[in-house]
Amino acid sequence: MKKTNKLIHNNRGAALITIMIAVAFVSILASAILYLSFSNYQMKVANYQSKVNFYGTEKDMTTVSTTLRNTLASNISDPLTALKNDVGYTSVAGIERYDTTKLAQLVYPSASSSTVASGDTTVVFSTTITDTNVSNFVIEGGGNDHKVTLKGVQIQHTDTQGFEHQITTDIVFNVHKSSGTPDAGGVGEFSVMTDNKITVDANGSNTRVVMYGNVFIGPGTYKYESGVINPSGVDALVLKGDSIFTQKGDHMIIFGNIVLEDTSVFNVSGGKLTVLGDIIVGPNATFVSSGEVFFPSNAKVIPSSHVPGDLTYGFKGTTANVVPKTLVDATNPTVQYLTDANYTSILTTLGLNDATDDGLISKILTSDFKKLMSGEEGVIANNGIDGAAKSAKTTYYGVDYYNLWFCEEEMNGNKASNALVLNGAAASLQDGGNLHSTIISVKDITITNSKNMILSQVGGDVFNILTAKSTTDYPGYSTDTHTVQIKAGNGDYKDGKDVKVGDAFQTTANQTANSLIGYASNGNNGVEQIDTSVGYTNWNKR
Amino acid sequence: MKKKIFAKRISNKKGFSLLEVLLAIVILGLIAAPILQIFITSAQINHNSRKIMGATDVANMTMEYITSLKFDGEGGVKEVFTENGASPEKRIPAIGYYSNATDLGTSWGNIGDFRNDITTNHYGHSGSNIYYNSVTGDQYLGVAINDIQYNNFSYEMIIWFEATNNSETYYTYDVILEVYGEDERVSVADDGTETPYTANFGEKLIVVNGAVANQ
Repeated sequence: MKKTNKLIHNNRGAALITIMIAVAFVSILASAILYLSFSNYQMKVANYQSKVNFYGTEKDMTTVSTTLRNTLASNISDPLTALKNDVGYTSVAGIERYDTTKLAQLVYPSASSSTVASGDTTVVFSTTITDTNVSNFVIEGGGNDHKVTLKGVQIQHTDTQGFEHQITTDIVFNVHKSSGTPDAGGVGEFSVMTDNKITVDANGSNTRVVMYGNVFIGPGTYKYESGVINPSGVDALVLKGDSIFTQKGDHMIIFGNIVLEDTSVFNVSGGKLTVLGDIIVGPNATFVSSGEVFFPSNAKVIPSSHVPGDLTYGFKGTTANVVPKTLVDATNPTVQYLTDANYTSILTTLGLNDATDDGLISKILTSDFKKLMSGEEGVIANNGIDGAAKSAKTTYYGVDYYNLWFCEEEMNGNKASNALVLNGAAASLQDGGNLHSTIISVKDITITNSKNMILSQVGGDVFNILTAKSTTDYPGYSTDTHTVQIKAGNGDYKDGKDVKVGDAFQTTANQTANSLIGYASNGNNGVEQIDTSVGYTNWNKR
Repeated sequence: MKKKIFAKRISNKKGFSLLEVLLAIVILGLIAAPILQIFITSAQINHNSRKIMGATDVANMTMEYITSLKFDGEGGVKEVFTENGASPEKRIPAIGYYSNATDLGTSWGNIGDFRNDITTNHYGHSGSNIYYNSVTGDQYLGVAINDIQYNNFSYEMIIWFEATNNSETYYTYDVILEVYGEDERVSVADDGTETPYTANFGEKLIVVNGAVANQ
């Protein structure tokens, strides 16, 4: 009994126990907080690692698609075979497949298998089409247009901590083969492009025209049907009086006749002249060429309506089939013949083999942009000329609106320098001085002056654009937005309206111009090129 | 009688003696101090994880922005990362920064190099000039972006571009983003005056590696 009482009243060591309980409580709290903090930190690191893995995986996929795109673009003669070599293409019993190890080698050239160690990451290239009896390499289309699909390309990144990211997609290549001289410089290398006639009228005194750039003159009767070029019978370039026309540009392409009257002189100085028509040289006129001249072959199909004795293509002087007063004759090696295939391919490639076609310029100018040449007032809807969405519709005033397009005034003032001149009126180009500009005209052009008129190409395929003039301002061009300022005035000055031209115009125009040169002036199909685009379908990541 | 009272007092064990309390405090201090350190460590871990999360977001937004850019190719440059107040639409969205572009030349360089200005004599891909705050070229190119403010933290970032494909037609740039936490050191002068350390590019937080191709 006494011992129990002693025990009950003995609190020795209570302090220590209290301390231990307090410490235990604090320890539990601290552990819990530390655990939460550490978990939070691990989550942030995991988030970071997953993003690193994602971008690393996307990088590999980007490299694969770009490398293959380069393969296609740089193997003009046979792009598809080159692509197949790059991806380890096999075809067994009609089953077409790519090799995942070859895909790995596109990104990691030293890879010996489809699993690659890259730093602290393991990269696996695979395909989701695991059944070897199913094709995962698909080619569609034919001719000059193909669509190649690599189905189920899968790339997975796994790092040493086990974080992984996987991307699966089909890679689609659209391959278009075209011809043309890629470095021809595009529209900017032309002095004049027109579907209409150019007349050089001396107007009683010497008129000298020197074209330093390329020239295209094509009255729109060069369509052909059933393999027969419709003999143009239309005069394209007419020189009168004592005018002298010198072509110094690399290429001059004429769909129609060149007519040299009076004592005029036509001089091809070192470039290439392609004529799908006649060069009709008057008895006192002169045709001079130190360059190359291309005609359609004598072996071409002659229309049944052809009258014997009439020269369809070639030189014509006072006596049929005799070449007078010229330094060039049919036996001159500079005169070359285009084969049927050549000149028909010109029209086919440029899309001019349609009897209802309305000319080359229509190919260069996009449909919206042609409105700017219409001489009308109108509204261009959303999705402006360059395809970019526009916030509002734009009122445009077409060239020749109110009949106030005075091309020659802008030329006289040298304001057309470094400009693409869109001519929508029947312009008479007077004293224009020495200008660096490119004229695209949908109307006849008459050149009359008593001084030198030099139209020199802008050079290159990026240019300012000059359109209808205003009475006060020089129509300008914004390099940021590629807008064309359409202005017209009739006493009451109208504010200029900006209309986007953008990349679409330049791309279309330049491709067409380069193709024209490549086909027409080389006597062959010119330089071929491959255009590609790449896309992803069924993109999936985890 | 006196002996009995004194004995009663001696045998009274209620309460704690001063010695016991002192000992308890000492023991508590010895054991609890390391445990309390855990709280400090937790706070630091939280701080670092917030920094990493912010740096990750900055890098993510930057990489997405770069991926969305269209590189113009031959002779073309793309203006990016322009300074505050100048063409703000060309800056990386959602984060504020002052961009001090530098040409880091053909080597990784050191912090001192980051203060150099771009020269227009640096030729890259296809003979193109490299312009201020623009991206092109097939040599080591770094763009430094200073004073990024995000999530109440300050960061710096270096973006490296390296062309991996020198084809004239289609090409890929490797893009490496290094995000740094701003140095928070303080320098102390002899007289005791404390000045925040203003050097940039303190602690490297994260590195993200991606790629972008011309379209």
